[in-house]
Amino acid sequence: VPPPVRFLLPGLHLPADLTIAGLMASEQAVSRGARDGTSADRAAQDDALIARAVEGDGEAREALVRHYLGDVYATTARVLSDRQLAEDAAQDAFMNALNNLHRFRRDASFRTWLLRIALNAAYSVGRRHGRRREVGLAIVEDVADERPDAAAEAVTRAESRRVDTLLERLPPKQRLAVTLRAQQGLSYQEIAAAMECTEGAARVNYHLGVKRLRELML
Amino acid sequence: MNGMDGMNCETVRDILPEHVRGELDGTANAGVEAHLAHCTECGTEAALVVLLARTRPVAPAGLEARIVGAVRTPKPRRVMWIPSRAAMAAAAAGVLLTGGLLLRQAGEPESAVPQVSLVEEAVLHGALTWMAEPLLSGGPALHELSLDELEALLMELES
Repeated sequence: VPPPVRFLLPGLHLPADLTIAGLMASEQAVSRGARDGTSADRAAQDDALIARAVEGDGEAREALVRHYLGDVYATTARVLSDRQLAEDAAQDAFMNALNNLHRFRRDASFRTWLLRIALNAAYSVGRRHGRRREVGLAIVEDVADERPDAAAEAVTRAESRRVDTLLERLPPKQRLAVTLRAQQGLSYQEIAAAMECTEGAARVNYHLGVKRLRELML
Repeated sequence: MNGMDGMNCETVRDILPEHVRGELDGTANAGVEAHLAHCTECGTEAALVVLLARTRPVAPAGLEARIVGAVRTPKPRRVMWIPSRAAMAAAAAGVLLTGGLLLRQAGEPESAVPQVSLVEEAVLHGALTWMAEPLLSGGPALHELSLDELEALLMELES
């Protein structure tokens, strides 16, 4: 029987009876609930929305913002570590993407293309406002959660936030690779396209980041 | 570690994010679960990936409305300026005249050199040998490398 999670991650104050299986099952249930359809469904929906948006359909443009705001904001927030700047960069990203939809060549998914634009927007905003802040501000907000065990969940969430703080201490490329992979679920191929690097570099940056995080938690 | 489940640590760690999001098919899912049941190292990483997955930055309330308001109407595309026939004829004459003069000054063009793409050139010089072979084939798994070794590998990949 695998040991409780708090023995695996002794640096965190996790509930005594929290197991990997329990933690995993809970997260999988929430992720499945949040997903609407397969990636093929998603691509087909995107294609239809993009075709309408290119023609100037306001509702289609709005739908694309709604579908991808979470991904775009999570990316700009992680690069900039500043809520206001991350919001500005997210807006710039959507403006740039939606006004240049006719240039989207479909050699990557729309999501990957959009995240590449979001990264550029974040770097650009970062340059305009001086270097990235060393100490990350509160970019993670509490969200309503439907998990059954509220007390244990509150503790776990608090510890998740600590892990998130440690993420801020990773070098930028590792932080971004870990964010895109573990928090946004991108494949190495998609990370490579978004970060404009090789798939090998994306994979190594991710593993290096996770390894460092584990060391920081000891 | 290569357990009875048939999956080794590297494979499991590579697909942990998909496992955490419940995106794996039944066989792969069962393989990862069987591996996590006996491998504490991968179990530790799995717990870390779950905790990370829970703290994705969430867009603040009001941001969606702000962006939707800004992008709902497309920015008009710039209309390309089309010059008159006379202007085009004058420009073409200018280009031909200047080009002729420059060619005369430069003399005969150099003999044609076979064009080799940058990638082909890099492979020829061994810079991208890792692309020709599977990354790290036969070598240690990524998770077995130390931080220093991973950093060295990364520098090689980025150089």
